[in-house]
Amino acid sequence: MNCLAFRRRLLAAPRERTPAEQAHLEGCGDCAQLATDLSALDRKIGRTLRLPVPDGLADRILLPRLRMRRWHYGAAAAALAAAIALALMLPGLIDPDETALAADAVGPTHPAVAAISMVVEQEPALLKEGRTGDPLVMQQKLKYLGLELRKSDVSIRYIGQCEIGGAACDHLVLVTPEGHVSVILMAGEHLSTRVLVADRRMTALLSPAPTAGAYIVVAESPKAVKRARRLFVHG
Amino acid sequence: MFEGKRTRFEALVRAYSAELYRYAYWLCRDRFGAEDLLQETFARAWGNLSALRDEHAAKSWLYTILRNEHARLFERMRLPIADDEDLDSLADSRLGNVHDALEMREALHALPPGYREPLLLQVLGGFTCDEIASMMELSSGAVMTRLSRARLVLRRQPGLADGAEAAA
Repeated sequence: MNCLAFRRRLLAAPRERTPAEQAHLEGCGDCAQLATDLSALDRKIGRTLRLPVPDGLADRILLPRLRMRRWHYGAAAAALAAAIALALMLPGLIDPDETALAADAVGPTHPAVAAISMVVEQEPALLKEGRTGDPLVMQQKLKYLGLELRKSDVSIRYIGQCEIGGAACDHLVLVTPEGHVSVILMAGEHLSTRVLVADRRMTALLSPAPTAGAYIVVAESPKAVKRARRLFVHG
Repeated sequence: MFEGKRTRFEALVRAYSAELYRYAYWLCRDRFGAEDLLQETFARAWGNLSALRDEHAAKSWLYTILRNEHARLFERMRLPIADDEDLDSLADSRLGNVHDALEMREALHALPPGYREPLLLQVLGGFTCDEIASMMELSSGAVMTRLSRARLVLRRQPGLADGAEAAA
């Protein structure tokens, strides 16, 4: 190994050293001096990069997950009761034979796949922001589609807007006994049949709305989606 | 099952949040932005924790998520950089007045992102050139070129080389 090759390597990776490079270092005073200088430079860079970290940083990151745990356990009994109630009330409405299509089967631009992407990628930040829209406005929008939220043990966590396939849609996040359920209202979408799609560990059900447009329900499983859909009655 | 996931996640947060915060800071150069970026990163990690099968890969997995989140949030999917960028002029003009304790910080801030980022991954993250190449989707040679040029620029600043020698 000559000095030029050694120095190129040294500048790029002062800490990575092959046996050949080590041998060269031990036999070349000039390169050894350069290695010493670069080690000192790297120590200085390292000291500068290692900024003080804000107090309680890890705890602040963990806090949302701790809150989720409390909700998780607290809601377990309610979830069980709700599941039983739904099973008793709606025995014929859940179609156990309906299987979800893979995202590949419908393509990445399909509204159901785009809705799952939005829920996975954007929704956590929206929920974290804590902003929410007007429930009365949302009620009117639901009514336009011929829907009404059934009064049950469901609360609204978020009301806002999102974009699905380039179209502005209304976005609703519900806290149900079975977890968060996202609902996207697509007033401009025209469908005749419903489509169930699974992607990224989530399931989305795209359905024509009773009077106009369509809506998508996104939840963590096909069963949860189908049950969540029953939260709406035709208005 | 949920408790197991939470415990695993908490271990990752405790182990890596500090160094990821520093990486985030040097990417966006803003303390509040860095913490937001870190929150986004761990929110994504939480959602995809089942995809992490090898705990030994956790560190590079988290760095890659953070890097992707930064790109997404700042609409910068790839670092705009030309390998023939004139770093000589950078050394002469943008860094002429740096001094004392701020000189290295200023010099690092002034480095083009495409040169600064592999240096962060190497010095802060402890990644090898090959690992950095994989994370940045570059060839190993390109990474080595950028690292070399970054060090040459930093070394050329008045006071930095002297400081390095003094520290040696």
